[in-house]
Amino acid sequence: MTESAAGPFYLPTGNEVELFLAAAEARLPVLLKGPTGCGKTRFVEHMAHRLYRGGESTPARRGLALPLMTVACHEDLSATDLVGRYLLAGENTFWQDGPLTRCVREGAICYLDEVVEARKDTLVLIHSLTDHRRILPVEKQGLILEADENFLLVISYNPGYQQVQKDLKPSTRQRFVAIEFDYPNEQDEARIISAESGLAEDVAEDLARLAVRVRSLRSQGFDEGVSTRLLVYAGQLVCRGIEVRRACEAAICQAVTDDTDLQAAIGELVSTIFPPARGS
Amino acid sequence: MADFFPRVSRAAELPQLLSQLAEKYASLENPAVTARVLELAGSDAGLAETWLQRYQVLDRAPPARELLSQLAAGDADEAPGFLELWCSLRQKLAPDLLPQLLDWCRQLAGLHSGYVNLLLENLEHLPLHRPQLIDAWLQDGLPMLERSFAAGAAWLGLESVTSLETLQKYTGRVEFWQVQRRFELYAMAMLGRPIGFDIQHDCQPGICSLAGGRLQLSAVLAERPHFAGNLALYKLAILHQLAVFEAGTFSFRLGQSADPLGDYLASFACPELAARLFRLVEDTRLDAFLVHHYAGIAPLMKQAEQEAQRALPETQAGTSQALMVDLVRISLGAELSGLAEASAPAAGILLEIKKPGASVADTAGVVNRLYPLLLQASPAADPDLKPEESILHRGRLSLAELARELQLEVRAEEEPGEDAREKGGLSFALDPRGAEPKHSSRGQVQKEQSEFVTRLPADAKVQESEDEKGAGLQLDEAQQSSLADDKSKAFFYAEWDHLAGDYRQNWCRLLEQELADAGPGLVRNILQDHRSLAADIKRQLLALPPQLPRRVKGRYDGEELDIEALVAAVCDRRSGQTPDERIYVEKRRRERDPATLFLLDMSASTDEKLEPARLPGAADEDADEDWPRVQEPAAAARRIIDIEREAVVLMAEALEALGDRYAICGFSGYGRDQVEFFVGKRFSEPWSLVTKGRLASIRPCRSTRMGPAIRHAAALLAATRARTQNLIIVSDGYPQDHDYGPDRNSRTYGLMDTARALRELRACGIQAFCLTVDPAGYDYLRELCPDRQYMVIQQLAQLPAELARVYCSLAA
Repeated sequence: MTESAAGPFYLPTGNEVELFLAAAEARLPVLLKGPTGCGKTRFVEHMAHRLYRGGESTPARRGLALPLMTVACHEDLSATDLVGRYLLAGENTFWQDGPLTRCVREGAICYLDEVVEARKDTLVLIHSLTDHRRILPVEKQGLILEADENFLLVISYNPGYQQVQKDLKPSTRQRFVAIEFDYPNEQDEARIISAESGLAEDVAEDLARLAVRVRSLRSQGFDEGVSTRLLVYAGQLVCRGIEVRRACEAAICQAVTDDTDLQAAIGELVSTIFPPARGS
Repeated sequence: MADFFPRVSRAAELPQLLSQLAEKYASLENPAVTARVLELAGSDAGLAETWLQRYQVLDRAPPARELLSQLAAGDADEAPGFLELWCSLRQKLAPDLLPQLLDWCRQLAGLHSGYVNLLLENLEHLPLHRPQLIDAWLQDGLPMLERSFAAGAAWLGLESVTSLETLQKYTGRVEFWQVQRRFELYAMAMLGRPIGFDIQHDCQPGICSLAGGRLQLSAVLAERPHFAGNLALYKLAILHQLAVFEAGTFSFRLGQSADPLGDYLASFACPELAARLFRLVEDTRLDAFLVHHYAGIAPLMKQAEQEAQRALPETQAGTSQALMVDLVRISLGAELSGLAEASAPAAGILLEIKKPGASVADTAGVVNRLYPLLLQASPAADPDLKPEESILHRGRLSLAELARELQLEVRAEEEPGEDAREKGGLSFALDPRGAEPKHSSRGQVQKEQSEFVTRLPADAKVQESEDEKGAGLQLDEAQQSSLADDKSKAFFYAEWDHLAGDYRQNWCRLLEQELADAGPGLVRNILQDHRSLAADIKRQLLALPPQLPRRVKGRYDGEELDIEALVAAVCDRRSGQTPDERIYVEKRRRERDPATLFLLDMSASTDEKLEPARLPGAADEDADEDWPRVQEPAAAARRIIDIEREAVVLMAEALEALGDRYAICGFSGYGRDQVEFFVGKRFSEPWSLVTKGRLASIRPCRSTRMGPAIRHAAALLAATRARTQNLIIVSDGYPQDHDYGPDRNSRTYGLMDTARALRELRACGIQAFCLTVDPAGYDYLRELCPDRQYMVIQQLAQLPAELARVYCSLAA
């Protein structure tokens, strides 16, 4: 991650920063929608830095050691995983807060990534945190926790590939302010690649050009196209001396699909846009 | 030569003919041949004379004659064919290749006399200019040639996949169908939308051209010795045509003209020359555009240009033709210094179009300046010589096509408030079938186009008529391919040839079509007649493991402590042993996500009426008592297909209640190019009146070519991406078709292909189950699949209930 005094690098592509700041001020939970690798997680990190360390921070928030806790959701994620559980220590048991409980207590941002992967009965747990009550029942301890005033719940999901089988229940979905993300335009993407990987601008522009073309194939068996994250990876490989066509082969062609024809077609795109290595 | 045609059994008494022919062919080495030939030809004097003429040719080449004798000794049937093929090839082939060819033939004749003619018949597909490659290919094929005649014939006939791949490895030849999808995707990515591809088998100038908004590609490319080189040439040719869109050729305008290109060319005294120049200059601009915009293309372009330069003809200096050739050279990247002095001014003008940012308007400007220079030069000696047309990667810019697009674009622009592309223009070019222009009917456009064509130079007319011809041809093919249903889609599948031990590439053409909607009445009747059975099946299916969390003990992490494991761990620790840390219970949800395709045999044999003993109700004494017997109306004489239909209808009804995904399809066909795959219900379709209506039209058709149907079903299943994919095949007999293997009476070929297809399924993670109502099914089903994956149903009435059981066992 590229991090400086300004925090993790993030290039806004719309009014998402203003929306998020307004939602945070109003203590509204936020839902981030967008394809994989388009910058949702980076955006949350960037906003956490701004709210807890940067210009929008307050003394209380600056004092928090961990302003952002990210939970990668999966189908076996249980309410216990989020809230906490008793663990053994020697002859005794002790209570271990889950990430959600800790954020609620301390006033941090709890970010549930790829939230539809979690079971629906697990997600019901967050309902009471997302309305005016802002409370979290901890059944095993017999507690009802009131959220710290700085506590913020952010969830993300990918409406592309996850929609066949999974979707958020309306009762969950309609508790969030939704911010939609997509891949940035060609110029912005080139800037992001260049900034994240340290790649020369002209090569970054070519990578962005390649991405636009590969995304034209979204309907052909891979729903997502190539993510900005993969382009950054390709750029990082190039910066470390890997030949650009080879880097694209590893970070893009092979990464986005197992369909050999698609791989070949993307390989042809790569060899159209980038010159062969010297001496080959 | 007395052994020539030795097995002649019938003797014709034709003394007069014999004497005439003997006299005519007196020069033959052995007159006995004449007599033999006449005997063989019987009373057909014309045939006898043809053979004798050919033999006369052979008489001058003793090695070939010896080979003929060898063949005749082995199998007299091969000898006349050899005579014919050899005599025709002798005239076509280079003389120095003949001894080598004879060598191959002799080797092959030593293995099987039938191989010789097979090689000669397929010679045109082999790289004759590089005999050492053919030699290597034959050597690689020796194991197949020695294995059996069928295997050898598949090798020599280029029907075996390995044979094709071996030849390709040696020759570098690319057949476009092999790489079509890759380039379709590539073109789609470059253009940002799909564009249609057509494969041209006749010799069009260039590798790729744009016609009717679709790309026309040569079927085969073997210009370069390596596969990668030919592939690169295809790519460059496609890219050149796509540049027409990206580099803005369609933005050409001429004031307020409704037909900019037509009016522009008509403004010249010699429109033909202007058209030739326009093509050359625009092609030059497009190539320069590609090199400027795509760094990876520059090396490919340079190589293609150098090859094209080498192919340019020598011309008489000082003529307009010499000037044109020099312009083509400049267009192909030649240096000014290498040209004749007289060509320098024109070449300098042409170079301007290669500058970055040049537009189609600049093309017109350059044409305006070049045109008088060419007119001034002395006339060409050979006016038909057009060097600019021999550049492979550029194809041929169809001016008629371009003019039509421009007319549509201009017309669209004149209509304010609507998107030009929506109204015809590019969208029409990209998909002329889908985007019919609103303001100009197709007939109107064609009429205007024909008016334009009358104004176009002669060569453009020829091109257009070829385009039209091509379009007509495609239509005919399309019409032929849609047999029963206009909406049928064709798919090609390989077939396993156990005799050759190899797949036969693209051997079967499968036509997927939806069954006609015959109304939901029949399905409603089935559900009413079998209410009780339907309820039982539903109950059975609903008892499948529900979507509840499952408690998994012995986990490293979990929601609860496993008290037993915990106590054991504490005990272990206290007694000084290493405790097992797996002390948690985890609640894990196991979601069932099966997708099942029911594939019904719709062969003619399913038309068989049930014998009284097999009629449901009458023969249920032995049936499983757990299952209620189906009560049938006594009068209805039901067929196997009816029971198959009932079974899937009852399953569908129960699966709807369960919520699992399923599809219902059938298959039949006649011959390898007409395998029919009928769709009753797709995975994505609801169990609606329409799909119920389709099931009503399930009927007995023709043969049972099972392999391609299974492969297609596997493709449909794979597209669901379900975790559990099941294929349940319901058939009434072994796989058979009139050309399912070389011997129509042998079941082995079809069985082996089907077994292979089922093995492919398992390799893809698809579970297959074969249900057959053929009492002899045990004989062959055990060859097809493992024991637990087939079932022979003795009493047909059991089919619906057994189908449900099979489903439960697969989906659980």
